[in-house]
Amino acid sequence: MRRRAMAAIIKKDIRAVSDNVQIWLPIIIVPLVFTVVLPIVIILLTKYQSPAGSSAWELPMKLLDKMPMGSMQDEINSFPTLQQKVIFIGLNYIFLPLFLLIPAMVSSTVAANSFVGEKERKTMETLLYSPISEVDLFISKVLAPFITSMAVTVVCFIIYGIVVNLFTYDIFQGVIFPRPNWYLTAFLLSPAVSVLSIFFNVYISARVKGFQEAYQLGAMVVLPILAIFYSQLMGVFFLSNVMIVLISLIFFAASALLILSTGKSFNRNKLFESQIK
Amino acid sequence: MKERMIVLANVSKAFGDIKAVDGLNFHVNKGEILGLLGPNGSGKTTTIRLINGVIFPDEGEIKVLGLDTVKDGNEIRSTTGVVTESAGLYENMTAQANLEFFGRIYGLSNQDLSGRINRLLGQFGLEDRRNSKVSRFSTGMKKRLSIARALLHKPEILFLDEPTTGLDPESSRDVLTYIKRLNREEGITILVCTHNLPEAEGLCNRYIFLDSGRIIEQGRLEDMIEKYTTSVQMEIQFSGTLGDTLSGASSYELKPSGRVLVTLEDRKQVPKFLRRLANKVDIYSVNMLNNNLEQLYFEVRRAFYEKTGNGGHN
Ligand SMILES: Nc1ncnc2c1ncn2[C@@H]1O[C@H](COP(=O)(O)OP(=O)(O)OP(=O)(O)O)[C@@H](O)[C@H]1O
Ligand SMILES: [Mg+2]
Repeated sequence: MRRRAMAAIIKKDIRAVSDNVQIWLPIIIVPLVFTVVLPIVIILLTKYQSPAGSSAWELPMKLLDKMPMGSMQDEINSFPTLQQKVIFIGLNYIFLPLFLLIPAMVSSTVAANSFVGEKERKTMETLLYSPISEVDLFISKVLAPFITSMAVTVVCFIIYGIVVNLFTYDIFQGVIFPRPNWYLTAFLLSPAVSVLSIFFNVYISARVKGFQEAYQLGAMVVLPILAIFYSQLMGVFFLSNVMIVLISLIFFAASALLILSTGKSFNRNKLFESQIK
Repeated sequence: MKERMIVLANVSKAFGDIKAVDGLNFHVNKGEILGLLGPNGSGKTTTIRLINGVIFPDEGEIKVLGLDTVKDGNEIRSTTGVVTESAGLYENMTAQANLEFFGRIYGLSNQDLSGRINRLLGQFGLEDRRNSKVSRFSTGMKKRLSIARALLHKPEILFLDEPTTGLDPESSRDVLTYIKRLNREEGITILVCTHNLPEAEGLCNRYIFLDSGRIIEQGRLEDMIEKYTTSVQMEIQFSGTLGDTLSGASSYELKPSGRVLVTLEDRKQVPKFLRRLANKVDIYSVNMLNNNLEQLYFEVRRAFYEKTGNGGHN
């Protein structure tokens, strides 16, 4: 019985987003750009531009210089041509943090809608007048964005794999994607990013007036992702397997802190006293 | 003694400095329609929230069907239905989908649910719109669907917060008819908040007048009228020559098209006065002007402000 109520809430929260073009269109466009358009552009650039003085080559080459010794270097050096090296670094490392924008944005949008949107449309009030337990309601409202985000992420992971392998097959004479670091990205780091962005939305949902504000504030979850992106470009660290696990753990820990500090405010009494008018 | 569905004992609730509810004591009997009346901000919605255990009182105790609202909130909420001021429906979903969703929240089985939904949609005249999105509904249709939603789990007590606000006269009448029928046929106990006094008059068995979270008067309409109005005002339509038949009135005023406005000192004088009048002229209608809820409402408030020395509307 509890399961049925929870499933109903999850389904409804996902539908609230899928029914609204203004909400899901940006969710579709961003992943499309990062998994299809950009990789193809990069691959084509390296194909038709000579290495000398070309900007497409510059960044990966710089990165190659800064690569730590050991297995990562060996992996890169196993590719004989410069073009192969550049494409591999670009698609396997530089693109990885950009991919994280997908779970971040999807979960943030759905969460903003399911927490703040529901309050704004005054349906939260009706919902809280029902005999559902606060814990069940909270879990359902967290699962809705998480499930959506993971579904989109996995689909994007597959699309990215297909695009990358399809467009690089003739260059490498084989399949280069995915490597273990991408499996870790899709199935460990992406869930971590999703959870962090959902809990961040729960945190701000108690403090904002409407969905738009929540949506804008929620976009702040891209900041740590951009930080990772630039850190790698600057050679501060590389997204090796160990590093991905480490970042995931940090994200999970930050999520735990967020939820410990605000989870308690998701309670009928508090919601009615401070947030539902 | 009648079964008491809801009992409030010394209930207070403040939001910051504002005392939304201040020492409330009242009960609601099984099967009655109780009207909660009072100006904006007098604590009507807060009272409904307190009774449903979605907010907790600072002081006092509330029992619903013998259960405590602080400890047994969910159990209470499974026996109550609340129609909030805003319809509280999912606009992007159809009428049917809304009812299915809430049915699952209330733990109805699929089998029970489809039967119940068909019945309610029929009862509220929404059968042919079951597959339209709520966003396309008129305010009246939303309100009816909202009431249907609140009835899905067959609650024993129904709370209606301003059920006819924003509705046209016809939709209002429809909604009121449904409410009365629910009470009559299914014996549902109803607590209704409203600003529409003429509507409340045709609906409620008993009233509670609130002001700043306190009860300033309560009771049945007849009893309160007896208490508050000694003098009687009536408008009489007649034809013929009045002569000295109006001499018993404390004041009177002749109006066009054969009508006269009469004030009597005491309601006990009414039968004798009318008998005397009827002997002399033909009476077509007698309209009592100050024995309705609206008049009483202002009387009660006037008396309250005289007593408390409070100058008027806050
Ligand atoms: N969650 C809240 N936070 C702060 N103040 C509140 C809250 N809820 C109610 N109040 C205040 O408590 C008082 C009573 O409000 P309530 O909504 O119960 O009045 P009401 O009788 O329903 O009014 P209306 O006729 O306008 O619906 C008001 O002064 C209101 O501003
Ligand atoms: Mg109100």
